[in-house]
Amino acid sequence: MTRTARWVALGGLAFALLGWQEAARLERWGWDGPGPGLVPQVLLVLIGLAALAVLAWPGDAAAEPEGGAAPHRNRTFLAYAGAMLGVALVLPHAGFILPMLVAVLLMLRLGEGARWSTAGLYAAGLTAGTVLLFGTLLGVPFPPGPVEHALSGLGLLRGG
Amino acid sequence: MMDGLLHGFAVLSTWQNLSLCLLGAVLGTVVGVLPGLGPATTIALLLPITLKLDPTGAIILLAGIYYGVAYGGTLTSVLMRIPGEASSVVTCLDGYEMARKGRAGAALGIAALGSFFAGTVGILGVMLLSPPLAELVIAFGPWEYAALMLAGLSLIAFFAASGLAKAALMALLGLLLGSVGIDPIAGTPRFTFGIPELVDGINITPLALGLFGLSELLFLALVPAAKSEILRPPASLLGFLPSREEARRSVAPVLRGTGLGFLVGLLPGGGAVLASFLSYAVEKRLARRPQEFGRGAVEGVAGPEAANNAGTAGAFIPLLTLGIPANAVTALLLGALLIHGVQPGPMILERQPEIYWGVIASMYLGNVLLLVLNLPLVGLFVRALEIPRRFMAAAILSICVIGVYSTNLASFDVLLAVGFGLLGFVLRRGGFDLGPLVLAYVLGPTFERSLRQGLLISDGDLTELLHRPIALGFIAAAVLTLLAAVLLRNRARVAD
Repeated sequence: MTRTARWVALGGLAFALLGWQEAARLERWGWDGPGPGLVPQVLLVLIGLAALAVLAWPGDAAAEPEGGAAPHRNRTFLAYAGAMLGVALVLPHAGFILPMLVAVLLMLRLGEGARWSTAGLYAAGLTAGTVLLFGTLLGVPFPPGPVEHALSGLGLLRGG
Repeated sequence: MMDGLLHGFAVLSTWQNLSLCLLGAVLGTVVGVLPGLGPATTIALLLPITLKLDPTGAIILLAGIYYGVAYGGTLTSVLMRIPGEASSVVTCLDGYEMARKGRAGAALGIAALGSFFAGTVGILGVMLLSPPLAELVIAFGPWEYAALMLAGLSLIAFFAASGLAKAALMALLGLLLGSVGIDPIAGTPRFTFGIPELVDGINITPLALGLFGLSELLFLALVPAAKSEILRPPASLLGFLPSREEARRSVAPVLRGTGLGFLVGLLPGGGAVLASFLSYAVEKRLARRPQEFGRGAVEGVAGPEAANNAGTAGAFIPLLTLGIPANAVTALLLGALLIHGVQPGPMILERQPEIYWGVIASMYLGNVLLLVLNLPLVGLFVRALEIPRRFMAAAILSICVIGVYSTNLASFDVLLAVGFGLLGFVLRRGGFDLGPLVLAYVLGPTFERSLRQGLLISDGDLTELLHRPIALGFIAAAVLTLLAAVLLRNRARVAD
């Protein structure tokens, strides 16, 4: 059994315990029949048991893909994960275009070691292409932000 | 019936209707490539366009989009491991692995041909079997649905590549994620932790795109650039097509997938999703080389894709003949029909035959158009695999973010998708299969709602099940499936 699988199983146990605190507040059986807590409570008990079962019978180690570079020491992984998280956190405040420009720039420059010019050109091209194809042509709504607001004023985006 | 079909083709044969069918198929394929924008969202987005059309033209356009989006979802599943919709999740498992081995063209070709065959047979089924099958659907009560969902959940045993315990843990997690949000019967919020965005539950789009698409991005990052190269597909046009061996291995899965998909697609509650998972499980069970599943088995693409499309056709039966939508997409189509003054139901054939037969004829034509459009373009689509990782990864992130956001216009969904991406990465790294999680997430809400409705109706008396032969049959099937999986696993272990 790999270390990651063991951590997942222990995480499952912890999740079952924490989830129980929330599920225990829900009514298991009401005056008219099964309540909203019945299924979640049963599921959490079963999750705890299944997590213990994984620890006891870990399965076929050969089928586990763990290996390769350690994520926390891998520059590309950290850049990709950071870009993903950054975009998700900034999106509600700055819209799609600005965070995506910066994220792509950092993914290419820091994660892949591309030159600033290549990274900048690709970030601009990709973001512009996404906006034109999905926003302008197909009318897909974009999260509001300063650039989106300006583009919607020009009629290139819906809303903004 | 032939008169009716000829009438349908006559309705379709105007330039306007033919153009609308073509436009729908093309538009559907283009938009279907954007993950998250599944058929339901696409139809919702494009519904206002149809308001200017006559009812027949509007429904023809929407039916074309419906089929086109399904194929677009297959493209991203095979080429990028991003499921376009929930029923394409299974295609990711082997389709993407085939692409990595230089067989993306074959996977897309098999998917297109299998989908065409299944779609055509499904439409024949709609024509021939609508009235009796509609009655069968009515015979399903809460207990039958709960038992059917249980039988569907038992399929996880066949997805358990790295152990039953791990698959069970994933399925239970999927069921729990499906229970987040307002309780369907009492209206009580569950596991929302005071976050208003969770009140409506967790949407399938952030879940599937995060677990499959974004986690793949993180996996790609860990592989050294030299090793992350995907085998180049053959340069010749014929090289993009399935080989004779691949075609031979796909025939039986397509036939089985078509039958299964059509029957399961009739039923409300994620019919096409269950059909594709069911087909995958059946093919894995029957395959001569089950060890190839998950590593690029062509049967793992052919069967589920056929099942998915036959299920799509099957879903039209309760919609047209009973006015009952089988899923979110047919619910939107029902809305579109009602907006245009069409009342689906048993009388539609007598009152508005041009609508019924026009839709049937447009389904035929839409299928043909998709095949004609997409087979020659397979070579072009496959070129996407030649894009270097650094450029592809950024494009995947960009498409995933806008796809997730546009489903519900919720920034919180993007955060959820990233969370699921990280979770999917950890789970895959630990050797946990993600298929059971998604299957359980999709089937869980219907299972819980049906079970609780059944218990409410019977006053908590489980013996009511004994008077329900269909439900008992499904429960027996679930038990047999689990037993068979355990026995086969033990036999394989002994043989090893």
